[in-house]
Parts: sequence; structure tokens; C-alpha cells
Amino acid sequence: MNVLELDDVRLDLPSRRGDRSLLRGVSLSLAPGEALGLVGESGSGKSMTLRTVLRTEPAGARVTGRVLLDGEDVRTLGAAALRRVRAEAVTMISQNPRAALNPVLRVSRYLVEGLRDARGESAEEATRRARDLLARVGITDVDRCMASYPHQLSGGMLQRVVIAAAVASTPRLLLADEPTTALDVTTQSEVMAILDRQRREHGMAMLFVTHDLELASAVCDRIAVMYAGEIVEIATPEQLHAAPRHPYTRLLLDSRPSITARAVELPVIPGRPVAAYEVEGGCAFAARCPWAEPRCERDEPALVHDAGRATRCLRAGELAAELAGAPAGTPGGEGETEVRA
Amino acid sequence: MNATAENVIEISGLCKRFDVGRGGSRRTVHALDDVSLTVADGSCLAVVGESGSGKTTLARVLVGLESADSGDVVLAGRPVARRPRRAERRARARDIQMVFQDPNGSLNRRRTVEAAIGEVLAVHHRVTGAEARRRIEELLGQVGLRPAHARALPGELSGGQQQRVAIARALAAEPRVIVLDEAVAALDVSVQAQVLNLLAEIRRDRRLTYLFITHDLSVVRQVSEEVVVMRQGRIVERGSTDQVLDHPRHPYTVLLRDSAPRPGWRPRLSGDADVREVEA
Repeated sequence: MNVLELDDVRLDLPSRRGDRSLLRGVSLSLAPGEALGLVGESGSGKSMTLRTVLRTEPAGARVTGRVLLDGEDVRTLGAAALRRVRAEAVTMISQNPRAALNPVLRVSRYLVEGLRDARGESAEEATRRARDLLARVGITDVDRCMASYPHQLSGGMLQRVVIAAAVASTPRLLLADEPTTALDVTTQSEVMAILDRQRREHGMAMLFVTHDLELASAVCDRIAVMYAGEIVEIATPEQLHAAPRHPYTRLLLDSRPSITARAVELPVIPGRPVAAYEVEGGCAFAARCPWAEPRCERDEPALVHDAGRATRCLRAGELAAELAGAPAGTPGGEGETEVRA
Repeated sequence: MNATAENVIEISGLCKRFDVGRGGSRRTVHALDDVSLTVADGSCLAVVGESGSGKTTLARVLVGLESADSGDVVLAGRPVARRPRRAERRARARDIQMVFQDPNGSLNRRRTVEAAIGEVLAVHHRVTGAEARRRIEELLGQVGLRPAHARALPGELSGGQQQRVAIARALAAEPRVIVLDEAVAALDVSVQAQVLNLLAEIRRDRRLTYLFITHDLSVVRQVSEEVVVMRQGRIVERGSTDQVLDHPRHPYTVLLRDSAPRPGWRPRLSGDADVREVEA
């Protein structure tokens, strides 16, 4: 059974100008131990999708569709059952680790209390486990870290503490919302390496929200690309880089400057990202798509599944060859050697 | 004054210390530790570093938001006083403008785009009235905005549009140098590409000089001819962009390059022996 399954999840938020749609039917599934990257630009709905899982969407939001966690719909759970899910089955790591820790409590108290609450361990037992967890996320001076208040630690150090706490209860599912966006690049690399290893060691599935396609590609088994409140393409990182099937994915890959070669001019996607509530029939990307035909503005494309991939484009079949091909600066075939077992 | 100087920016031996902490944990941080660099007229120098590297302090000293403890800054052939008088500060602001990561840092959310740009025209060039409106329209056109945007408030614009307004506002002073402090870091990929192209085009057309502060080596490759890598207030490596990115010499530059996600990349723990021990 899948750890997580979203089935046609829609989210509307009332506003002064009437209801605004933020998610327009998101469906995805996560197998046990699998990592799925949810990639998109701001306003695409990636964080909002993640928030429907723990029911932390904004107050007043109307959500329809099913969110199945181990087969049980979290959208219909009572308060007590929801609390149990939040405490045991799912943990969340957000962009700002400072929001997760109480600023007036030492790290030791945060970790030990969490362990005692979740597992009913004795104080000594919990302290020993907390120290062990900190060592496993690469903290060398465990004593100092345990005795520190959050403001005395750097962002990278704090995010490690949050990861340690997240894996402590060995949840089945980890929700990570841009966990390294606020960190320096060298720290990001370390924190991602630690998160990746901890996730694999504990066999946790992960839904990883990020704007960084390359970062998601490095740690995820599959990537879902979002645009205007819906998923436009799902594929493995290797498939996405070698042969994207949605025009938006292709253009997203091309418009990012490369570290290895300078472009005379960067290929741009004309216009600006549209919000889900601005879409009026037809394909949401049609107005910015160089391959759009008149029918694209009229007919709404469905997410079509084909051999493990999924694409939401009316012209996916005819464009496949044109959209494939390595983007500038991609070493050919490098992705093939990185396929996961 | 020597307006034809080959180097628009000449910085030598710049030092800046901050005292941080209280009581027993009080210590001195060297935000800038003997920093020297030059930027040729019409070129783009990228300053790369992570938090605490001193890159933002360098920019703030250069534009006059901060004063250095020691060292010299020569801007467009004119030595810059460490504690300048009001008139000197204004003259410097005409020569050098700054664009920040968050456009809201330089835009007042209660003032229209027109008012934000008009203020710069009035202060630096005494341009007002119909002439100012004509210039504002022209500037908005140069950054890819429509005349109708003049009456918009910042809150009514997208992040990319706000950053375009911030660039138009900097251009209104007709500076020779623009300091861009992580100016594209907060933008979405598709919008970032548009703004990077726009900045390249403006530099070409107006023969501007850029000091481009960024943590992103892909952006460095795209925008700059020369680069300096900063760490803990010091420049640890410098050279042409291609040379530094293709053949980095300093271990820190190598680490920065290896930490940047790209196709085929895997996150790695750094060479820290202690970290390795934990892993084993």
C-alpha cells in the first residue's frame, strides 16, 4: 500500500473578490521509502499541496478530494486521531528551523521532552538517545549543542537538530518544505546529505518541496513539476533531464544559468507565472508556451500516464522528440549512472 | 577628477571590524580584512561568498551606507572621504547606485512607482513635472514595464516587476556603477532569467559597471568577467570568471563549486574529518 496518496485534491480560499482556487486537482502517490520532489515556482501550489497532508492549510480554506495516509483519509479524521498522525506518522521540516524550536528552551530539553512524550522513555534513556541522534546528524560537539539555546546555534546547526528530532520518532513520512533554502550552499550540501542518509536508514518516504530542480533531482526518486495549482509532469530525474515531455519543464531546465557555460542570452519563458485562480479554461501554460496551438487555449489537458511517467499536455506526443535532448551544459548520460537501486 | 580612469572602482586595504556579543562572549569580527580590488570601466566583477564573508559589508562601504575603519576607496577617479559631508554623499550616490535582494527594501509600499523614480530624478538631476513623467516612462520601458505601471503601488506588482522598478530607480540617477546585492536571488527561475538578460542589456547599452554580489556560481558565470571569492572578510581567490570556475585554486572555491546543485550532483559532507568520523 502507498504511504501517501492524493486523489484530486482541490483547495479554494475565500477572498473579497470571491473564491480563489489554489489547487486545481492534485493527484500523486508515494510508495514506502520513496522520495518525491514537488518542484515549481512561487504560487504554483507546491507548499499548499504539502500542507493539505497535515491539514495545516490557511483558515477558511475549502479542501476537496482525498488525502490517504496508509489508506486512511486524513481529511476526515477527528481531532484526537489527527493529533496522533501529527505526532507519530508524519513529521515536517520547514524552511526556518527557528520556528520549530522554543527560543527559551535548551536543545537538550527540546529533544529529550520530545522523545519522552513520543515513546515514554525514561529521562536517562531519552538523553542517551538524543545525544546519539545529534552525533548521527554530524554534530561534533554534542555537549555544547545540547546545552545551547536556539539563538546560539547557526541555521545549519539548528536544521540538523530539527532533522534529528524528525527522525527520532521514525515516522513513515517526512514532509520537507524548502529545508535548505535559508542556508549557505556549503551548508545546504551537508544538511541535504544528512537528511538523505537519515531518510534511507530509517526507510522513510519523503515529500520534498523545493524551487530547485537540481536539488530535488539529487535526492528524489521521482519529480512532480507543478504549475498554476496542478501537476504538469511526473518523471524520474533522469527522464526529466534527458527528455522532458512538458514544454514548461523544458523551458525551466533551459532558463536556469549553467555553472559550466555562459549563454549569450538566457532562454526565457515569456510573461510571468500565473496563479491557479487566474486560469480560465484550456491549458494553464498556453499563454506562455511557444508550442501552443489554438486548441491549447480551449481544451483542458488531462494528466496522462504512460510507462511510469505522466504529462499534462495536449501536444505531448507530437512534441516528444523536439523537447528531448540535453540542455546546455548537461554532460550526456551522466544521470544514467546515478539510477537508484 | 579623472572621468576616463580605466578603473571605475579602486579599493585598497579596506578594513572593517564589528564588536559583537556581550560580557564574556564579547569578541571582534573582522568583516573586512585588508580587502583590495579594482573594477574596470564597463566590466562586471562578481563578489562570491557565504554569510559572514563580508561581501555585503564591502558593498555597503562602497556605496557609503557604512564607513570603513581603514583603507581607501577611489570611485570614478575621486577619493571617497571616510566620513563624507552631505554634498559629497549626494555626489557619490549619483555615481553609484545599489539594488538589493528584496526590492521592498528600497521601495516605500505607500508610494507609487512614479513617486519612487521621480524622487531620484528630482534629487539628483532636478528634473520634475512633464519632463520627469517622460523620463519615468522611458525608464520603465527600458526595464520592460508598461507606462501604466507608473501609477501602481509596489504591493500590486509581482516580485520580478518590483525588482525591475528597483533597477529603473537606480538607473534614474544615471550612475556609472550599480552594486547588485543578491539582486536576483529571490526571483523565480523563469523571472530570474528575464532580469539577468535585462541587466546584461542595460550594461551593454549604457556602458555601466557592475559589482555583482551573489552566492550563486551559475549566476557568476552568466554575468561577470572577473570574480573575487571572499571568506571571513578576506579575498581568498580572484581572477577571470572562467579561470576561477574552471580551475579553482583555493580549497574553499573548490568546496563552493562542489556544493552547487547541478545535473548529476549529489549532496556531500565536506572534508571535515570529524564529520566523517560520525558517518563511519
